[in-house]
Amino acid sequence: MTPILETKDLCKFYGSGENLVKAVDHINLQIMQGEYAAIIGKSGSGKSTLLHLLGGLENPTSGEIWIDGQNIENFSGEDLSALRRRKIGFIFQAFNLIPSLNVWENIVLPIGLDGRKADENFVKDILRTLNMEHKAHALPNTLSGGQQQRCAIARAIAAKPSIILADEPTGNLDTKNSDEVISLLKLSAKKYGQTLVVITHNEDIAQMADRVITLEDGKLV
Amino acid sequence: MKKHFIFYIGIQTVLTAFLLLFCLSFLKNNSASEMHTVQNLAGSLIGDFPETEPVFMQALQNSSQERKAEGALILSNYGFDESDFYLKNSFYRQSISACLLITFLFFILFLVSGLCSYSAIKQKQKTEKEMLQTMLERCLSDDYDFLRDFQKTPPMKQDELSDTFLKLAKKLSLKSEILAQERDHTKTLVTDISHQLKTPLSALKTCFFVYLEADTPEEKEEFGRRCQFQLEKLENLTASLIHISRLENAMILLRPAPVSLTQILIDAVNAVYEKAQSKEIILDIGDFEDITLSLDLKWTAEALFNILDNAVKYSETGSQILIRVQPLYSFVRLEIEDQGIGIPRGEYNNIFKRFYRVQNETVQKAEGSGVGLYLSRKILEEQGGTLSVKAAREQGSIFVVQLPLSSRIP
Repeated sequence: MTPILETKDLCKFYGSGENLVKAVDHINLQIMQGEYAAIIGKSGSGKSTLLHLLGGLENPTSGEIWIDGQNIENFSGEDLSALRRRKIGFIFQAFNLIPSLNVWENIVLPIGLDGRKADENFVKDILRTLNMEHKAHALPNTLSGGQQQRCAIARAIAAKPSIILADEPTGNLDTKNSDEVISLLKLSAKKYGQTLVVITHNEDIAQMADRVITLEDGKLV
Repeated sequence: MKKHFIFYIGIQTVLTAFLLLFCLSFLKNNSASEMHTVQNLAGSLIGDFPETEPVFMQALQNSSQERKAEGALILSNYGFDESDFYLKNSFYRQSISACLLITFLFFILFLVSGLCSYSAIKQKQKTEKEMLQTMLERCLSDDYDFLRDFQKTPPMKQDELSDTFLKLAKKLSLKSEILAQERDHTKTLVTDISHQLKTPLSALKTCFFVYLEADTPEEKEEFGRRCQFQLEKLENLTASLIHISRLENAMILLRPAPVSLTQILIDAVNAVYEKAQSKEIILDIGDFEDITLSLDLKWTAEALFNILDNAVKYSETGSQILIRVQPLYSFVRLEIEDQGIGIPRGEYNNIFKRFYRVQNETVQKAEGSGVGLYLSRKILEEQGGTLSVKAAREQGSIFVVQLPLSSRIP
């Protein structure tokens, strides 16, 4: 299979001299199309930095990142944000919903920012899959944590990205909710043919992944 | 191509500027030459006959040119005709030849540039055609490496044709990858299965030989029993293998139909009941509101049975197995909690792999082929559900089954 995400000798260092922190230390990683990969590791092992690098949110100190066959090294800021909007969906621990917009508006916002028109039937289908149909017009602060994360998942999927990067998507949820959210994420990714990369420190969550990538001190174990 | 275009535009600009300068200088020279003629006329006429000066000046300043015809008549007598006057004048003759030269140059320029762009376009078309041809041929021989290079540095302009071709090539390459993957998959499956069959088969063979050459009737009976045991083991194993190979090759068609969750649980529990009874294990299903889901009854019950069967197998006599049901937002959550030997944390991801068995004495001694949980997860996921495991609070494991409520029948 062709990898959809690939890193070659990827490094991200912070500080210098004695304060040098090797957050990501020479990582070679390949994630295949349609794969569900879980990246696990303790806090401070460089998981989030790695995910930010994979999504082009941060620039590497050295090394290459290939997204869908393209080396993003030479991308201008504008090209990179276009690539992010079209190819990558992000899900964060803190949900990052916009409080003044309702669920539906939150979901279609990134599509509108990209100058595209939302595929209404597709979004409805996602909401049905996530069992959020009846909450389409609710404001985020009236929803439970699980429902808010469901909304964030819908937002990530709605733009039809090839890759979904999730950073501790269940960090704020209890066991049952987090099981449900992670299962939904997995099932939706499968249903819509997307590649899923989830960062977690919770090994219970990682067990449903096709592949578990363990990170320790910025290195693959 | 761009270079040529710039060069061409440059030449065009220079020539146009040249033409403009020529026109301006021509007009200037023309008016100067006319002025010289008038000056000459004035000099010879007014110089010899000063009294004609007012008449001359009046004629020069009078723009209506009333007496033009009179003059023309006089001049024509001396051969100065309006029609061929300019041909006799050397200045005009030079101007005409310059005009001709410029027109000719422009003609040549257009001709050359036209020919150049024609041949350039032709050449480009030819290279693109050749490139397309090579790529098509590589597609034919199942070599799709060029796709990567193509994305990095597109060697040709992307028009509709090359776009469609690229899409086709990508689709083909994906298909051949899937095909190769399936081939590998089948290969590993065959290897795995033959490996699984080898152990009990060789055990059976040994037992059978000993049985044949047994000296005493006790020995004969003992090894006959062992043969029987191995045969049963083989039978169970082949049954699982048939299940698995069917599911792997999508030969099991899951037929979802409206079924109550209670019915699925009853079927699963019934299948394991006898075995549980023999170990005095109590199976307890907590209260729940029954729901109707659209699932395949037989296979879903089989998936749950595998989990319950493991729970019974790895639990002490007289322990308890709890089944809890709880509807959530998108799934109904089933928890199957046992008080058995538990599963080491590091094995959580492995136990769902095909033919995997935990490397521990109790498990290795117990009968089993490492197929059950793999099959269960496969059946559940195929229907939009999930299966995972957690450690129970004190001892044992909790298997968590989630079945999608989207398949719910109201």
